[in-house]
Amino acid sequence: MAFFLTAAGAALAVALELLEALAIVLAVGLVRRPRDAVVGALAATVVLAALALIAGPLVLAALPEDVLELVIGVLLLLFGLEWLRKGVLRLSGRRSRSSAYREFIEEQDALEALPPPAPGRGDWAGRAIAFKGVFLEGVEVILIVSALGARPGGLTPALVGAGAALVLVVATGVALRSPLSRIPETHLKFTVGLVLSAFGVFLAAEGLGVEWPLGDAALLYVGAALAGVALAQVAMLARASRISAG
Amino acid sequence: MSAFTYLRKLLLGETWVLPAGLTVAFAAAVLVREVAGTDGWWESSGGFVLLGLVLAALVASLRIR
Repeated sequence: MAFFLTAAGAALAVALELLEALAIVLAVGLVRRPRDAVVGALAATVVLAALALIAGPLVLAALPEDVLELVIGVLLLLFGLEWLRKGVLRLSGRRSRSSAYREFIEEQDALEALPPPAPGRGDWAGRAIAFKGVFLEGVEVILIVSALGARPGGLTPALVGAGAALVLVVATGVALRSPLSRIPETHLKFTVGLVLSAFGVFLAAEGLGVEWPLGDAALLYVGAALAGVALAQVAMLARASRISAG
Repeated sequence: MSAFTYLRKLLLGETWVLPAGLTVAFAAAVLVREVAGTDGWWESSGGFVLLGLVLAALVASLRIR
């Protein structure tokens, strides 16, 4: 149960973050030069790999188990509840829907305003934009995967999920040369928010000395409670918007 | 965006209400645990107390903007 939920949560979170990074790299590759987009993205990947080594084995593994569970739980709640909050606001119509494709178009427009790269010379502007896009989204990936992987038995499913998402998103980007415009990103991010928040409550409570009834299966009823309240908030906020609109 | 602003948005999100709500939720949970004792009902039911407090923090972050 925990293995599947950890792998699924890591895969969804990583895929959604990488879709946003892919939108920026593809925009740089199409408007500037593909080679410079790849150079910027690879440089960011190297820096992120170093950061992953520091965040996982060095920092998190040095903490005692109960403190580790509490720290990871709080970290997952900070991410998960923020995703869930935005998901509720988007699904209730209080905020525009999430779209990597829209970001791709906006990034393309911004890049077209820049002077074109000089022939035969490295395009440092393009490389820097690709680096920044991959790095900023990647830091979030590192923190989420490190947190999910730091609990006992969590590393394998977190890495399996993250690896599957990485292969899928990169293969999609190479094959289509365009971000997917029909992915229900808003609903997927809402789901990731639920999964991360459920893990956050579960682990933080264990860090405070709680023994959950039914063990790992508690993730299901904690997730169900979060989903129930979040969906009720979607309905209430949407109704309030309709009433105030007329 | 400055490095500090980026880090603040990365870890704390777009609103202060959610991290402030979580801080209050965890402070209240620790207080209840200290009053109840770690070997009593807290061990079997404390998770539901924390869950309720976290849900309250989520609802507050949606109402106070």
